[in-house]
Amino acid sequence: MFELPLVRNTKRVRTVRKLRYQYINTLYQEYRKVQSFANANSTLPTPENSAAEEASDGDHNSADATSRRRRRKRRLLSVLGHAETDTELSDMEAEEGSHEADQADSEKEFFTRHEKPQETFEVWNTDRQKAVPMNTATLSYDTCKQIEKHAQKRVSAGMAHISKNANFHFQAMKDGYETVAETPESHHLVHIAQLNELLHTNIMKGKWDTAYRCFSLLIRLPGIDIRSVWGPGARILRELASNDKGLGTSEEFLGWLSGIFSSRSNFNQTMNFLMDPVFRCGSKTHAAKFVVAWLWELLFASCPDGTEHPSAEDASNRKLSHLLERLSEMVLIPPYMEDPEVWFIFAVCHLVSADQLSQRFISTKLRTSELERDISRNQVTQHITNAHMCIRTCEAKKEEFSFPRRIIEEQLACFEKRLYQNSGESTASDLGSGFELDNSPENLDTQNVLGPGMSPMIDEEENFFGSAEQVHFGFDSDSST
Amino acid sequence: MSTFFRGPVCGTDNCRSRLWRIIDGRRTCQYGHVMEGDVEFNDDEDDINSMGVITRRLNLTTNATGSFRSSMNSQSQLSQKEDANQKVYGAEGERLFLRCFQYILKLQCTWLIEHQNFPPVFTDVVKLMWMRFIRSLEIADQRSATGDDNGGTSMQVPGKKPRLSLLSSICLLYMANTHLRMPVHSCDYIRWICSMKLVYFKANLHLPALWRKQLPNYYHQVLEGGKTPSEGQFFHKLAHMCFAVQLSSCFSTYVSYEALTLKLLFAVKLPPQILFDVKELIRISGESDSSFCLYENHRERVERLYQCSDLRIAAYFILAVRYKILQDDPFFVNYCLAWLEIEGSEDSPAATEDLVTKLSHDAASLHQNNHRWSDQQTTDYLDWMEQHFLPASTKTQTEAQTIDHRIASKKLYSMFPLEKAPTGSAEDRATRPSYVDKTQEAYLEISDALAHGVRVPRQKQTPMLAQLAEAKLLREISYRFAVSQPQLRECLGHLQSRICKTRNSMNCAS
Repeated sequence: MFELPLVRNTKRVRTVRKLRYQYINTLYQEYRKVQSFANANSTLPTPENSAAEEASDGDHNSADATSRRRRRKRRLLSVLGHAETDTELSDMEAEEGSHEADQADSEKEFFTRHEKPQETFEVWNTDRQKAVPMNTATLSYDTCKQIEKHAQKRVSAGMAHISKNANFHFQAMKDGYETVAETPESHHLVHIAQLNELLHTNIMKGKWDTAYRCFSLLIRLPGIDIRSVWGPGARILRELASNDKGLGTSEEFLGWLSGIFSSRSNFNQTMNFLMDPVFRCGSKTHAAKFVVAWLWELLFASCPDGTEHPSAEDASNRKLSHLLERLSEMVLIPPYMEDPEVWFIFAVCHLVSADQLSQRFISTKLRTSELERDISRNQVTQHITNAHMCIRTCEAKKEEFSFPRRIIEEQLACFEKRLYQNSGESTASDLGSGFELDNSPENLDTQNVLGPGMSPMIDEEENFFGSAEQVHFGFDSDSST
Repeated sequence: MSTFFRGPVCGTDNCRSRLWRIIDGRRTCQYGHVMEGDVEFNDDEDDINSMGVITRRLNLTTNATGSFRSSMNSQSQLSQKEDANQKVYGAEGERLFLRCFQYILKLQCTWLIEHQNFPPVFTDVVKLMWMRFIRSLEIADQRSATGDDNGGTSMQVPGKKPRLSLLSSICLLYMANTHLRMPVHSCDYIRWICSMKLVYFKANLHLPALWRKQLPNYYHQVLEGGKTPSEGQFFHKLAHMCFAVQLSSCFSTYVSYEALTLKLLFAVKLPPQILFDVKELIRISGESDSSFCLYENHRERVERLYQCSDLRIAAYFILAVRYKILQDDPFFVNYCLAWLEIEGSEDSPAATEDLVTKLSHDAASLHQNNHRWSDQQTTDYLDWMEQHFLPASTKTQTEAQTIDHRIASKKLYSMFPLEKAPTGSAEDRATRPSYVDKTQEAYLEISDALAHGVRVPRQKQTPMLAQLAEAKLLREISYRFAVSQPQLRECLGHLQSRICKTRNSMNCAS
C-alpha cells in the first residue's frame, strides 16, 4: 500500500531507461526528417510537448550541430578518397559511433528538449501569454509505423544482450503501457514491506510508541534510504522527544540529515533510478525539503516562549544568533541562494532579533546607559534594514512563494518606532510639546493596533508547518502582560 | 606544472572531463571547473615534523543513490577493484561454494542441537548423507564424462551442476531426523526458517569474511535464500534429494504419522480424539507403513504431491475431520461450530512464529488486513523483528561501510535508540506465556464458547459445516507446509477416490 523506502538500483531499470531514451530520441529524429519539409521548427505532436517552447529552440541547435558534424564527416571521407557509397549506411554508422562515444548522452539529449519534472512539479502554467498553440500536425499511420520501425532498428543493437525481463519491460513501455511496480517477493522484502505498513498505519492511528519502534527498526535495515522516510521520522521525534530524554530531538535529526545529505554532491542523472531525487533530497538547483524544515524548527526553537526567565532568554538569544550566522552563510551558496523560502526565513530571523532587541527600549525594568542604548539602537536598525533587504530578495526570486509582506513591514515599522519612543518620552518631558500621541500610554503599545492583524499570520505558519508548539514573536507575550 | 590525473567525472554543466589538475590548491578539471568542497590544505613538511599531528579531513558527501563517498574517492575505487578481482570462478568457485554450503549445514546442525535438543549424533547422520550426496555428484560427473568418450563427440558437456539451493540443506536435515525417528516434520523446519531462527535467509552473511569475498555473486544469490519456499517446492526438492542420496537403501525413511497428526491437532486446536479417527481412517483405507516413507523421485518435480508422506498425512487429517462432521457426532459438530465462531473473527494466528510464517508465505493476503492486527500481534511482530530479523540481516553491515558512513550511522542510531531494557526482557520472558500455556488458553476459550453458546445443529447444516471446516483447515495447514491450497486440495481429492476404491473392493470381496 505504501511506497517502500528502498534504494532501488536494479540493472533492469537502468538498461530499460537507457534504451527508452535512445528510442525516443531516434523517434524524434526520424520524425524531424519526415516533418522537416512541412515545418522545420516543430516538436513531436504530443500535447505534453506543446508548452516547451524554448526546449525546441535548444533542440534546433543540437540538430544543426549533428547535421553539421555529419556533413563534416562526409567531406572528410570524400577527401580521403572514400566514395559516398551508401549514405544511409554511413549515416547510421556515424551516429552509432557518436552514440557509443557517449552512452549517457541519449538521456541528456532527451532532457535538453524537455522541462525537467522537478521544475514543473505542481506548477501550473496558467499564463495566457506563454501559451503555445498545440501542434495539430497529423501523421499518417503508415509513416508512424515506418518511423517506429526505424527507431526499433536503431535500438536493436542495444537490445541484443539484455535480459528477457528487461526486454519485456521495454516492449511494454514502447507500446505505451506503464509497468506496475513488482510486489516484493523475497523473504527480506516481504518483511520490510510489512514493517513499512505498520509504520504508516500506526502513525495514522496516532500510536507514536509503536510507530517509533517501527521506524527505529526500519532505519537499521540495510538498503533503506532514509531520505524517503525522514518526514515520518521527524514527526515521531517531535511527538516523543519531549517525554523521553534518551531520544534525539527532531531538530537534531533534521540537522543530521542536512549535514549528511548536502546538496553539494554532483547530481548524476544516470545514477539514480525510479525515484526522482529532488523530492527526496536537494540538488544544485533545489534546496532539500528537510533543510528548509530544519531551518523552521531552528527558528521556532530560538523564539522565546514568553516565560520571562533570563537564562532561557539568553539561550534562545544564542540560538538565534547561531541561526543568523548559519543562514548568512547558507544564502551565499547556490541552492539556498535561489530559494525564496530560505530568504523568507532569514527575514523572519532578523525580525525576531529586532523585536528582542527593541524590547529593551520599552521594558521599564532594564535601565541601561546611553552608550549601550546607542549600540543596541544601531543593532536594531541594522536588523530592520537586513530584514527589508531579505524580503526584497525573496520577492525578487519570482517563484510562487507568497507571504503577508505588508504585515511584516508594519511590524518592522513599529519596532523602529519603539526605538525612539522612549527617547521621545524623555525628551518629550523636557520639551513638553508635539508628542501627545506617544505620551498616551495606550498608544505606546503599538501592538494593540496591529495585534489582531498579526495573529492570522502566525496561525498560517503553524498550520503550514504542522508544528504543535505555540510560537510567540515576543509581542503576544507583551499584549498579554 | 600542469600534470593531469584521473579522477571522478566532473559533471558541472554536464562536463565530462575526468582529468584534474591542481591550481592554487583547488582541484580543477580539464575545462576549468573547480571541484566543489575539495580544498587542499597546506601540508608543509615542517609543520608535520614539528607538531607530529596528522589531520584527516572527513568530507561527507553522497552520490545520487544515497551511498556515501569520502573525499578520497580515487583511493577507495582502487581498493575496490582489487577486491573485485579476488572472486574465484570455474571449478574452484564451485568447490568454494560446496565448502560454504557445508559450513552453513554445520551451522544449522549446531543450532538444532543447541536450541532444539537434537541428539549430538544428528550431526554425524547429516554428514553421512551429505557425503553420499557429494558422491552422487561425482558419479554423475564420471558418467557424463564416459558417456562423452563412448559417443566420440567432441562436444564438451560440462559436468552436471549440483543444483543445490538452501532448501537442499533443509532436506538433508529432514532426512537425517527422519532416520533418527525424531518427531520433527517439514512444517517445523518451515516455521524455523521463516522466523529466521534456523540459519536460512541471508545465510551468506554467516560465512567467513574471506569466503564471502571470494564467492561469486551468483552463488551469493543462491545462499541468500530469496523467496520463501512455496507451492510445494520443498517437497519437490526433498524427493529429488532422497533419490540422489539413495536414502531407502540404507536409512530408515518412515515418517510417523501419529506425531504429525497430533502436532497438527494442537496447531489448529481441534479435540485430540480426532487422532484415533485419523488412525482408523488410515487403517481402513488400507495404507501400509511403507506408504508413509519419504518419496524418491529422479525428476526435479514431483507430479503427484500426495506421494509425499507429510502432505499425505495432512490430507488424511483433513479427510478425517470432514467424515467426522458428516457422521453428525453431536459433540464434535458443536465443537466445530464453536471453533469456527471463535477463530472466524480473527483470521491471523496467535503465535508469533506462525504469524511470521504465514506472512512470509502469502504476503499479499495479509497486507490488506494488517490494520486489523491487534496490539499484541504488532508488539510480538516487532519483538521478532528486533530479536531475529534485524540481527540476521545486518550481520556484516559494518564491515562493508566506510568510516564516514559508520560515523554518520552511529550518530543516527543514537538519536533513535532501540528500546533495550535488559531487566524488562527478563520479566517479559517470565510473564510471556509458553507454548503449553497458549495452547491451553486457546482450548479453554473454545470450551467457554461451547459451554455458553447454545447451538442447535440441524441436519441440513452438517454438509455446509463440513465444507467450512475443511476450507479453514486448508487455509491453516497449507501455509505451514508451504504448499498452495489447490495443491493440498488435490491431495485430498486423490485420497478420497482411493478410499472409495478400497472400500468398494473390500465390499466386493466380502
